[in-house]
Amino acid sequence: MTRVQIWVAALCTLACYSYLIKENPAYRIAEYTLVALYTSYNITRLFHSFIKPYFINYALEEKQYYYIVMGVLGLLLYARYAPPQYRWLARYPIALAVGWGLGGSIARSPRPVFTQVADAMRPLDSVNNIVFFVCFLVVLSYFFFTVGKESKFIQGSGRIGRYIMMIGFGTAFGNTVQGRISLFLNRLSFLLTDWMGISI
Amino acid sequence: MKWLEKLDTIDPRWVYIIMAVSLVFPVLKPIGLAITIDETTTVPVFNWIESLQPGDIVVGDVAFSGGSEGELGPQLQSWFRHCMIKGVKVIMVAQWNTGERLGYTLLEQVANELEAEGISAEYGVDWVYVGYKPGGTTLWRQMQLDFWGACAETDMLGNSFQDLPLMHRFKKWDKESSKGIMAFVAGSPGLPTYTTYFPDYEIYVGNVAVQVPGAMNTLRAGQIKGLLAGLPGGAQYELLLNRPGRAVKLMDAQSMGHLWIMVLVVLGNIGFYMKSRARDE
Repeated sequence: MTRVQIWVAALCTLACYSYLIKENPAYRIAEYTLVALYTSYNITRLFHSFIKPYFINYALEEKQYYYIVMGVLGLLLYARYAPPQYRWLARYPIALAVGWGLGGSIARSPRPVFTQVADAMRPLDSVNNIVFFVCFLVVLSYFFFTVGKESKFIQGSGRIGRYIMMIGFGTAFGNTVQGRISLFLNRLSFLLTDWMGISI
Repeated sequence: MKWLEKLDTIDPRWVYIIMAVSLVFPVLKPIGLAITIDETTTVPVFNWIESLQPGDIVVGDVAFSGGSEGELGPQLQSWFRHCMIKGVKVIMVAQWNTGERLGYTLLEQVANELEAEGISAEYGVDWVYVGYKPGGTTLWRQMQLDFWGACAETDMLGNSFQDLPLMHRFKKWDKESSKGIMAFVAGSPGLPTYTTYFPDYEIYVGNVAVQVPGAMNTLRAGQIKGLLAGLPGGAQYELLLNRPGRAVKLMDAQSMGHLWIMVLVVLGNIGFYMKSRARDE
């Protein structure tokens, strides 16, 4: 990065962290600039690396005209901004996208879940597997909302299940803290080395 | 013990200031705390690249943006360096449009360093950055059947696949052409794209720390074969490569930050307890 770029990045970083003191104009400017940059970058990039090659290579040169049909269908999404009598046209690309998306998702999504369900059935030949099996059962029992809620046994195992879940949430929180510190450290090292010129 | 009760209502800005100070010092003056290499998460990723032959192709995915660069950047750079040293060819895609340029910049930096060291990392021959293509999982599915067509035969820089020698060996994305997938993920879309649509492939993951507990069950179930977990994952990979870098340098500060958080949690709970007891009395 050039010196000017480093200064811009450093000032934007400081503007973002100024939110920790309180909401302020510097933070707002950084936030809006980021959104605007992402949007304009994506539009430009997609046009040059995707829409244009698709249109020229396939639709025009190879005469695969269905790409044009699909392109027009995609443009119909903007019909929602048209006069009211034409807005219904926007429903067709949405219907197509939702239909394809749901079909594809329903067909393929169960497999990863079933893989994990199958993995939950392990021989009780190690401490790890036994601990896993017990935790698995007591956590499941916590979610018995209809059967056996009056049973002291289900209540007891459900309570243990809740503690085990709390350990899991604690792990997730600990990792979240770790992640946030890592992100701050990255910015900190940028400010110290690239901006302030301190070698670490 | 009024001061202990006050801990429950301490101004968060004091916490931020002390946290910042406690992180700055270890960054400037590393303490050299030990870093343990995880045999079940990090080592399988390293061994996977070690087991490949020169010329084998692997696919990497940049599914993160600038917000996660601190954790996934060092992972990506170390992994890419390892591939280039071993002569493994890398084709990079990007599920996140907001991170594709960032991913390219990180790899280009490593490639330039490698070239200066005399290790081949030539663009188009040793690696190609296809980048982001719109269409979500639908398009990723199409890439398996016709990689060129799905990507409009164009990389992120606008080069035609025809002009990139490596791409001539990668017309479709199947298990024969690709010896595995390394996804650097920070959210959605991310890992589920591969566990759902590429379930029979060798999948490895570089993950942000927040998501690691959720990804551990996929590792246990064999859906992924290895996992680089947050900044420590990057640091461990740098050590395995025998080239300590940015992640290793920042690990001391990370540990100090954790220590400070633990102190705060303990003090906060003591304050909460004292306040509750005073209220009960």
